[in-house]
Amino acid sequence: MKYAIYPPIGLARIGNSPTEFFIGPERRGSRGTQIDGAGTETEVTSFKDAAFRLKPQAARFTIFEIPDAGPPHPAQFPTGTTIKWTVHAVNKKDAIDRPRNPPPTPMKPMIKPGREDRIIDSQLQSISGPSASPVALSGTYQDVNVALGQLRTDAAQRLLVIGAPGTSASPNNAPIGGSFYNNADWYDDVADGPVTAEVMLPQGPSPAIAPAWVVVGPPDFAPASGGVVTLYDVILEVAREEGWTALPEQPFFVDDIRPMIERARNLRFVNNFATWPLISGDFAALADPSPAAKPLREETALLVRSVEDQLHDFQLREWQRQYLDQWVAGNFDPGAAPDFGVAATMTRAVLDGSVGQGFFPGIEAGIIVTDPSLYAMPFDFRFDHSKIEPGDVTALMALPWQADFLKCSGAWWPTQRPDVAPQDNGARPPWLRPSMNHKRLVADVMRLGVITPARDQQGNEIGIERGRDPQLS
Amino acid sequence: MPRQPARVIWTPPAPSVRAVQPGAVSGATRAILSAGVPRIADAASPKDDAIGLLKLAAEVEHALLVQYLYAASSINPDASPASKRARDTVTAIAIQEMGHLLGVQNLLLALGGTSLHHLGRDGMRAASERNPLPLALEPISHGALAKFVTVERPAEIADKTLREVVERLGKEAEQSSGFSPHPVSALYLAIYWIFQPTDAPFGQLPLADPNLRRGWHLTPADFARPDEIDQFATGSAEWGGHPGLLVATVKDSASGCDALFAIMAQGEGVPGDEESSHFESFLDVLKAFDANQVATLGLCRTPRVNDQPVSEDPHATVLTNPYADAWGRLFNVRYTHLVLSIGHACSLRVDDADRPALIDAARLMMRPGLTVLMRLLGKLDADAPGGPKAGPPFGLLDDTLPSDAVGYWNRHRALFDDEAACVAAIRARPEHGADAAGRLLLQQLAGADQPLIDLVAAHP
Repeated sequence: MKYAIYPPIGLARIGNSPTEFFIGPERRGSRGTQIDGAGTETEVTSFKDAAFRLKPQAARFTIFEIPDAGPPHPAQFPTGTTIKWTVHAVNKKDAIDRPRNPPPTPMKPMIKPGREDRIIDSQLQSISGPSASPVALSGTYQDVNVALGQLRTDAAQRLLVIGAPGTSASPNNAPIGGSFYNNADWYDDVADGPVTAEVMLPQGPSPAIAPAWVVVGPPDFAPASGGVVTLYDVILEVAREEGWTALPEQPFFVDDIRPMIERARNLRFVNNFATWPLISGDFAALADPSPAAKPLREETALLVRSVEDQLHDFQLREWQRQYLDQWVAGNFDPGAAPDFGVAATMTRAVLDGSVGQGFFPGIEAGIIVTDPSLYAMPFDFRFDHSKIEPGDVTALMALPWQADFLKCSGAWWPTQRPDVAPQDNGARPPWLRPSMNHKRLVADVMRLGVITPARDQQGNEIGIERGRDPQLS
Repeated sequence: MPRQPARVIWTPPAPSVRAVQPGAVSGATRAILSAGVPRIADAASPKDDAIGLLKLAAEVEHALLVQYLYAASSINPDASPASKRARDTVTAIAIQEMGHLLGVQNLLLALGGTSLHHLGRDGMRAASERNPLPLALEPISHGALAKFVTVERPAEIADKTLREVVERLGKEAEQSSGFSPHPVSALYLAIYWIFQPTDAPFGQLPLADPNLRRGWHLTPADFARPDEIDQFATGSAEWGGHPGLLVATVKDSASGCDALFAIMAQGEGVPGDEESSHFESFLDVLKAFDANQVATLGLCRTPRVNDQPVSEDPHATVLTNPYADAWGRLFNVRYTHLVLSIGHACSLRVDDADRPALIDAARLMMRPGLTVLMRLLGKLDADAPGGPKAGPPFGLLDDTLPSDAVGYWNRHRALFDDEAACVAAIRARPEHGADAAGRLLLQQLAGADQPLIDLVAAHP
């Protein structure tokens, strides 16, 4: 029997709440879940705690059994089985030889001689059994201890990797702000690395488990909106170009087209451009393949494509373009794609919570994910751990991430770093207010609001700023 | 009656020029050697000279900005990742030139308040003989990139092979255009000299040159009061803080020289700089272009509608396709309105509520306003089907800024009237009925304009 950890790439996020966290999205339409004291899991409704601190996002990992036929399903091990999880998180942003600008093509991060003491390395950290006591992920930057997150397990022995508290600093008070990308002698606490599992059965040898990877990224300050191009879309295009996967000849409206339309439409919650409100939300009409509905499809496709002109450094993936063309032509299935199981759904939902454009340098991961040599075969969005090292995915992202957040207002990544913050009274002030310099943003970014999904009086989905620290002025 | 623009005189290059600390910064020596030293004719004081040269610098930056934007718009980003990268790179440089243009406004502000702001493009520059480049809107090409590299090149290139490549590019640019492109830093160098307090080497750019007028420097009394400057100075954060957007506040000689140095450094680069210079970036694009990795959209050269101000480019293309002409006219009005909105915002105090609203409006006019129009024009035929495509004409319909608030609001109203006429003309064209993209674009633009329309209506 074969086993693998899912999702192949898990996504956690930093946050400064010491008491609360939520689990990142694992199914379509979810913004994440939270677990109460009784172990009941519900959809997350607030991304801040009562003290206006940002809840870190946890990545949850599960071992799936891969049958010879049919989709993977969560593995059922005999009573008495212990699962030992091991994670190795690394942040080496300030230890590598950084190019002056985000690399335009994938490049392997290389440690710069003399800066080895800036590799923040958790070393291998393990946790075993159900509901285990938390295990810290931490390393040192020179002589400073830096938390990189925390490991937990739930009652079913699934692994939770919880993001770090969001500390960015310079031990020697180096300046910040000279660059959106490079601020030497600074560190932050995003990280990435391998996730492995060992299943200790009551009897018999431990089975081999295909490992996964965890990326601990910056916060998502706008879960009400999603990237029109996500890391899922980007990696899928890599697989399509390499011939590792063949997409269905016809797009499925529910799975392939509607997400693009919804995400472009939901940009209205985070950006003031006049385009987004023009995008239709009449999904019944948009799913109509008849010639009579073609004008609406044409118009909607134009508006979705205009994201390429309107956001910086932005391109739809080729499969998205081709599917949009087919949809406009009426050559599509108005329904949903066949169900490929929980693992596939989870893989996509996790990566769809990220942004995949533009890689200048990006938010959670950069252009390194377009390197075909990094992936394990047969392809299932999984890195080949012999081709990638801990910390590689985040090494070439902005240092610290707040530098990029300050300089990239105005249509860069509004789905993670909003441009505007809709209020209950209809006002749309800037999300980043008051005006801040880099030092202030480093200190206060967690106090800013989160564009949170909500419903208006008519029941329509909206995004409203919640959780902004009222003392922030 | 409009005031005649100040006249610029270029003193020919000195036979020997040296930097006090060779290698401290590149650019100085060769810039002076190749272009000479500019000064304003009849300038009665260093302050008059500095103001005139800064206005020329504003025009130069404005012209480079649109030339780079046009070149970027001629690249097909969908052809390949390398092609997209080239377009993004050139666009990013253009945006940084926008930062230079705003930075020059802050330098002018420091010398005499907002009345000195200057966002013109074609007044002094076109009449000045040793500009970096005449204003020609060229699609991306080896020749165009050779010019851009030459304009942004550093003086001293240590690597012999690279130096020879760059010098060859300079010669190619001269042969193809009949004009010798000059490094833009020659102009900034002269301004730097005036900003430094004495003849003694000062700041990050130690200079010595026989053609630099001795004793010709600003004094502390030439600067506006710091608190007055703070009330109006602009900064990159106001404009969205785009990566590489340098807009420093200037209050004295030291901050003025620092700001000028930063502008020059971003163009040609300095050792240890954390971000790529324009020179390096253009070289990268040129390499990609020469390797056939950059696909173009087949734009014409210097598109213009037939009654916009006369072009400096003898090879300009009149848009004879009526539909392209109609969109080109709309582009010109919106571009002119953008320039007005930037000037208007900068004329207001930083605590004036209208200032951020005008900046937001200007940013919307840039992106998505101009970006979507540029893409649409790149798809329309300039003349007949099968020939070159149109491209944005960048006709600046008014080179001046109003002198008071009433003048600004009235100019907004007039430009909205002009825009409405252009939109009506587009809608009246028979091609428009079948142009779904064009119809949507007009809807998008109308939505984008609404906040400014509301703001203007609140100032009858």
